[in-house]
This record gives sequence, structure tokens and C-alpha cells, in this order.
Amino acid sequence: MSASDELCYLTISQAANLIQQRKLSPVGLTEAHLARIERLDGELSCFITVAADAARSSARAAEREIAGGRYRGPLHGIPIANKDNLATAGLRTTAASRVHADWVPHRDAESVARMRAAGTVLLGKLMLSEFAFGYADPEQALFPEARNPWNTRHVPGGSSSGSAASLAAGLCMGSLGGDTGGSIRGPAANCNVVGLKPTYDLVSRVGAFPAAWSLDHIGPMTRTVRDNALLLQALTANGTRVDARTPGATDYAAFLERGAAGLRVGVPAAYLETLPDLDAAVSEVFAAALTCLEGLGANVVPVDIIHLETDLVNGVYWTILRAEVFAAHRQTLLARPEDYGPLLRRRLRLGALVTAEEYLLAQRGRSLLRRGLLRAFDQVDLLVTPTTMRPPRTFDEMNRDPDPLGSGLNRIYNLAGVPAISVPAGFSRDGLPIGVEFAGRPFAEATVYRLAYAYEQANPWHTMHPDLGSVAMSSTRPRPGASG
Amino acid sequence: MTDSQHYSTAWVELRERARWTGLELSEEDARDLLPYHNQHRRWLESLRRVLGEEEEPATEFSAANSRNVRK
Repeated sequence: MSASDELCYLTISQAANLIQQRKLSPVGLTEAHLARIERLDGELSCFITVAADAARSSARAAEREIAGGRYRGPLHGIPIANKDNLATAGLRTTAASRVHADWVPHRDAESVARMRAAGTVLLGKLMLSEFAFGYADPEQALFPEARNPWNTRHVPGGSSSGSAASLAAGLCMGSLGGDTGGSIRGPAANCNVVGLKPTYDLVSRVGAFPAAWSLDHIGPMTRTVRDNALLLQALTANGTRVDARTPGATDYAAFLERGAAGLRVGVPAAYLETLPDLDAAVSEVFAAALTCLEGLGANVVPVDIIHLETDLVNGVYWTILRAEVFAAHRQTLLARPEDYGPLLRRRLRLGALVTAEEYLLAQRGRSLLRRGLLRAFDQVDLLVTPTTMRPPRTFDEMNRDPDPLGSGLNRIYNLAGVPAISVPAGFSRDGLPIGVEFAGRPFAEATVYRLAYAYEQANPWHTMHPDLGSVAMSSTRPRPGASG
Repeated sequence: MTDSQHYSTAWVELRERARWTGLELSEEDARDLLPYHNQHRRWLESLRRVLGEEEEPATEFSAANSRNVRK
């Protein structure tokens, strides 16, 4: 790996220290990333739009400010990228759709504005599945699908595919994603990076194209837990505009070193046993994670979550999701149905079939599930589960079954609006990343980070990167030592 | 009921549901959507059962509702 490429795999914290000491130039760091994007993204397709000129201009401005003694903080001069359903003033925002293929917003999304205010350098806009609604549509060919840097025959997962894959490939140092039913955490697990779905509305959704209003969350994605905490801090600085009840800025990084000792960590063991499709490699990695947590002094105990069963979660989740997504798209779907991919068009039409009575029934079911989950948090501080049921699928598998229903593993946290994070937890025998997920009570992000950091630091996974030496690779593998 | 009759009946129901939203469904659309819609219906039946067990017995109103439906 060249010195320039090594720069791209610094953590944000490492780069920030160097920038603050003026040992690393934001312009040089940005150029290193742009060169790497130029070299690798033709194969990986993480970016929909690369904003090279604007990025260079931002980097020069950051460098001038820092040289002038106006250092803004640990994100100043750090190159990041955003999911392309977050509005960016003056920069095309497509949502990976034909409907908005040429839309150039006048205003930044609130989350984008906060990243700019923290001094980050925006490299460009990242690939997602069409309108962020599930997996990439195999017949939707407006933009090439992002590929998993660990093995380009495999998907990065959806919908924040580019946000996760670009981090794993060293094409940016942090990214913003969106999560309606696992769309941050699934791709994070599939690409060996960290993804947080915060408490509902802790991070503003203003300027984010909605998938489903009551389930959508915007959150940070990074290669380490500490970096993730830094991004969340910037995203929540001075509270949010959305909800006056949300707390103001928290120094999340200050909680990281407190360790896992004494934390009560619940495993929904009975529920996990009902999942026949849970992959053996995922089970093996998860068992190792539980052993690790016990070794760190956490009190790992089985916990029952009342009413948590896959059919019930799916019934509640899909009914609410389909109705809300249809509502968001009704006008454009009726006017321009041919501009939607066939998979999304079907999903939207299913939303048109949901009656008001059924939607309200689902909302009552949601209250029941939420109460059950919050009751579990009376007994434990955090819950731990595998992030995904299996390692990332191949594109061939996805094309055969593009519309899997999935389990309730991630969705219960969207329905309840509680914070949940996926952190790297190991690899399958054929070198595909697997993640573990920690969830906490509403607004308990600091505790979630605390356990995630202790777990991360006790393991080597976050230090491993895919070998992208050959752009024409058909398969990449973790570096030696990465297994089970 | 033959497959063809089944789809015709289902098409009418799906078309009626979608009509209120302004969406026109063809018979071919209905064939595509029906398996998903049937699954949705099964999920909701299960949800109604769970909610019934958890919430309905607690209310005199819903008990009266049930009695009146039977009449």
C-alpha cells in the first residue's frame, strides 16, 4: 500500500490529531482520496457523483482556516461523503432514481449542513438502492450497483450500499447513511465498518428524501466507534430542529473509555432460536462475541422480549412501511410509473393496497412491540444480536431473490426508535465480514458506544481492510489472520 | 374455484383498494401483487389475534362489538 493509500485508512481521530498539529494537510488528504476514488471506483461504483472541484475548494478553505488559528474541531479538513438521498446545495441529489436524476437542491439537508459546519470536506454523493427502499434493483440500471470491496461478486447490502462500501475501500473517512429497517447497520456489517442508527429524530431528517417518515433515521458510518461518536456529536450539536425534546450536544467520545464491566447485556436467546435461516458462520461469530463480552466483565444474560416474533414484526413493519412509502411517492408514481424500477414499483403499489384500518392496526402492533422491548430494558442496559442473518449475498443470489422479507432483527429497533449500532465482529471462512449489533434505551447512545468501543478494542476486526491491489479483482480476501 | 376465477375475484378486490389512491391496476398487476398481498393478509390476521388477546378483552366496548357482530 502506498503512503497516499495509507493516508486513506487513517481513522478520523488519527487524521484530526495530525491536522491539528499541522503535520497533515487537508488538501493532501483530500487529493489522496480523490486519487483513490479515481483508481478504484470504476470497479466499486460507490459514488454517484464525485464533487472533486468543490472538495478541493473546501479543503483549501479548511487549510487556510487552520493555518490562521481557526481550528473548528476533530472533523475540520476530514474528507467524507453522503448518501445521495440527502440534499446538497448546488450538487445533484438523485436518490438513485430516474425521477430525480437531474435534481440540484438549493439547500443542504440539516445533517449535511452540520457536517459542513464542523469543517468536513464533502467528496461526493454515494450510491444507494433506488429511493433507499431495500436492496438495489437488478433491473434499475441508471447507476451501476455498488460492490462489496471484500469481494466484488457480493453486495454491500442496502440501502446505504455506497456509504459502507466507500469506507471499507478507503474512499472516504466517514459517511452519512439512512436506516429505515437496517439500511445503515446491514451494510456496515457486510463491509466490516461501524454504523449507528440513532434514537428516532436525534439526527434531523430535514432535507432527507423520506422512505417512511415514522421509521427513517439518519446516522453516521465510520471505520471505528470513536470516529462514529465524533460524527454523531457534530450531527447533534445544539440539539436538533426536529424535536425540541431531544437532548442537546453530548460529548459521546467521553464515554468510550468507561469499559464494559458491570453493564448488563441481554441476549434474546429464545427469539434467536426461532430463526432457522441464521447462518452457521454468523452463529459462530456471535457466540465468540458473547464470550468476548463476558471476558470484558459485562453481565451477559438471556432476556425475553414479549411478542418478538418474526411474523409479527414483519406484519407490523411492512404494513407501516408500504403505506408510508406509497404516501411519499404517490404523486410521482401516478404521473411517472415508468421512471420507477420494477421492484420498487411493485413495493409502492403494495402500499396503495393498505387500508387506513390496517395501518392503524399495525401502529397498535407497533406499540405492543415497543412496550415489550422497553420492558426488556428494565432488566438490562443493552441488547446484543447478530446484525444480519448471514454474510453478504452474491449478486447472483440477489438477482434470483431480490425481495427477501428478512427477519425482525433490525426492524424492531426502527419500530421502537431506539439506538442501535453494528460493529465488525469477524469473517466467514470465505472472507466475508459479519457484524454484531448493540441496542440501548432511547437516547442511550453514550452507553451503546461505551459497549461497542470496549468490544471493538478487544478485537482486531476494525484494523482489517480489503486487499484492493488489483482493480480487476473478482475476489478479495481479508489480510492473513482474519477468520471465524 | 379455478385459478382464473381466483385471480379475477382477487383483481376486483385489489383494484377496489387501489382505486381510492388514484392508482389503476391491470389484471396483470394484480397477478404480480397477489402473493404479497396474501402474505400481508396472513400477517394481519396474526396481528389481530395477538392484539385481541392483549387488548380487546380489557374493554367492554369491544366485547359488545363482538356480540353484536355475532347477531
